[in-house]
Amino acid sequence: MCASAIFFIVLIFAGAASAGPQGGAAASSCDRTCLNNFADQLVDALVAHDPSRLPVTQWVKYTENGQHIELGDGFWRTAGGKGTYKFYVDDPEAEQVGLETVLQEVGHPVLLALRLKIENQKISEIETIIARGGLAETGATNLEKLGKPRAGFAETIPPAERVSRLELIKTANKYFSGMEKDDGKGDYSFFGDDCNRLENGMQTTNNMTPMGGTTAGGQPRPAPSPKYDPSTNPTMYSAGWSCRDQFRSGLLHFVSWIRDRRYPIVDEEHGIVWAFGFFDHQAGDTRNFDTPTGQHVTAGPTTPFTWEIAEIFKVRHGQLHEIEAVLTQSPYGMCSGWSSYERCRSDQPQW
Amino acid sequence: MTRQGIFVAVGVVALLVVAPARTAQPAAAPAAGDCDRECLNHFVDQYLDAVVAHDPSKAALASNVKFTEDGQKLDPGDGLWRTATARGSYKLYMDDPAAGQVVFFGTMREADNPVDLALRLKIEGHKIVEAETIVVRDGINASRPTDTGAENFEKMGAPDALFTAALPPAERTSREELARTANKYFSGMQLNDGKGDYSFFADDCSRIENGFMATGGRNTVSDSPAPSTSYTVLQGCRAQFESGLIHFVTRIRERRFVVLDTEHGIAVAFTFFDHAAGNTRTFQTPDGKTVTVGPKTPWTWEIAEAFKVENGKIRRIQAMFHRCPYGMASGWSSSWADVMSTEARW
Repeated sequence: MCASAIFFIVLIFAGAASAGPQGGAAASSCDRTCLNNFADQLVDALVAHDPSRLPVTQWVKYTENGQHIELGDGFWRTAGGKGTYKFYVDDPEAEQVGLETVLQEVGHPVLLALRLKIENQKISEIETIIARGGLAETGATNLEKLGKPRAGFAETIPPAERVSRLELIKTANKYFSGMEKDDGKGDYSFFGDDCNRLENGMQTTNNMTPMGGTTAGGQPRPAPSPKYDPSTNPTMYSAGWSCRDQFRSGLLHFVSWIRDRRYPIVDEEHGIVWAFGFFDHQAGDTRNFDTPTGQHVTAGPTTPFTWEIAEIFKVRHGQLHEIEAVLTQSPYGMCSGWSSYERCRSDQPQW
Repeated sequence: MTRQGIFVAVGVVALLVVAPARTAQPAAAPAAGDCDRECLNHFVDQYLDAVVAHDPSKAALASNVKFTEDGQKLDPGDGLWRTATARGSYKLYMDDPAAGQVVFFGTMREADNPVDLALRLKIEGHKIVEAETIVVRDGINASRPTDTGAENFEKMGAPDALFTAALPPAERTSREELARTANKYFSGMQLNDGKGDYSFFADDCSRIENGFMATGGRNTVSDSPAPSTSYTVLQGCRAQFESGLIHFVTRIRERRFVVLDTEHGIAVAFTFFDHAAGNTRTFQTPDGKTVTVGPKTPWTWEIAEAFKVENGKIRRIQAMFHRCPYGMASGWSSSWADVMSTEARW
């Protein structure tokens, strides 16, 4: 996305700022400890296959991988032992909490991204993304080995350096806007030099270890190359490159649309933003594009392809440092179950 | 499902048919059918030619047309519209002129790979107002993960002749009767316990799933390989149900009968097969054996299924389906309650 387009989105943010909850979220009756306790209760109830032990509102809504199903159905029947990796993102102001964790399901580790909304000490919204099989299983094992979230996420932002919810969201949203139809010509200074990304527990930046498996296009994943070098005319971005260089390469162009961008959880104290979105790959002619060096490339999935994603960003000094995502393939064009159709089909941020 | 259960299910359908609320359904009062079979089939051909041309303007789409692909509402021109490269040779048209609807089962090429397609069009005022598609891009069998069965369909050369054969006028039934008979298939499969009345299957019933024969000639359980913990493609339609081994299909919901062709005895439904997994995988067969079988994780098939019904019995079944997120909705029901309902509607 070009610089002017990014500027345009920033203007939209500025215009919409007064309408968002960041302007006046309800006074919280559930602090961080309370929120984390709700997340723990939820996971305990999941592995017990017993939602009846949860304090829920009368109209509690549960979605699993974008589908509205009954509480007690789906993963509630199959969730097994709890893992040790637990990454909580608390938003006492909005009374929402996110938890990324590992669980067992019929003998296999799976990744769970969980969002809860609390109202009057009861759970009113439960949103889950479960990433199963393949590299997600490998990545879940990786996270278990990691044991706890990266240290950068846990760092408290000094009070004098904290920015508003809106500022945090604006910075995180640059990631999506920069990736959507990436042309390598944007201003990618929003990436910190130390930016690193885990996707389903796999390190997909600055990582020279081959991941194996296949790409979203079904092709064998190539061995990573150590450094982005435009003069070599690469035709596929590499997990060996930095966050910024992956965007600079213009090789993510095949991500045609990042829509239904929701930012329900913001932790100003830690500079963390938890987003949900969908990455559409339209395939067809959109696979053909030019890189910043003028090279014509054909890349990306050959059939319409969508990732449903929960993505967590650490923002310091207006830059992204740690990024962590849980994602699973969904039917092309799917909605989250938490937006109107118009918002589902929009790439404008919602919060 | 027990005999009593089936009776209840059929009874529910029967009640719905006569209930006043149902008078608003197309079954009771289909839209004025000013588009005959030839007209409906022409719309299918025109639509698919437009898809291959990647040009929605070449199809007679109404300005307010609604288009879904694999349960998702997309803009015409998106999804398969961008990636289709050719039409295939397998073509089965199932028409319902009274309702102004047609369902097409066929093959296509997408990025030059063979895929199966189920397409439903609704025509009003000689425009396409609804286009619903299921595109089968992957194999449904773990041993054939990339085989969509499209090439198998094409090897058949033409659809089973029964699907295109008209019934003698004296044997034709009402739309409701047609739907009720076909719905016995779903009701008998859901939580199948082998104890129902499966006489709605004709002795020569066979079923094709994504191009592959899913039934055989063995028509009684005693005829079948035993002991077994899963039903087999060697069994006939009835024997599979009598085995009680399809119990792991826990819910067949959003049963939308979209084509009811009384002239040919064809019923076509779009629906979802949920497999709840967990402890629903463990059950008893009619001979008292406890088995544990079925998908280990929550699993849903999005499915379009066509039935040939003669004299109140199902003779042929053809299905196009693929996996979707557990509990997914079609995009064509007006409420979540309808999405989760196991009642047939038409």
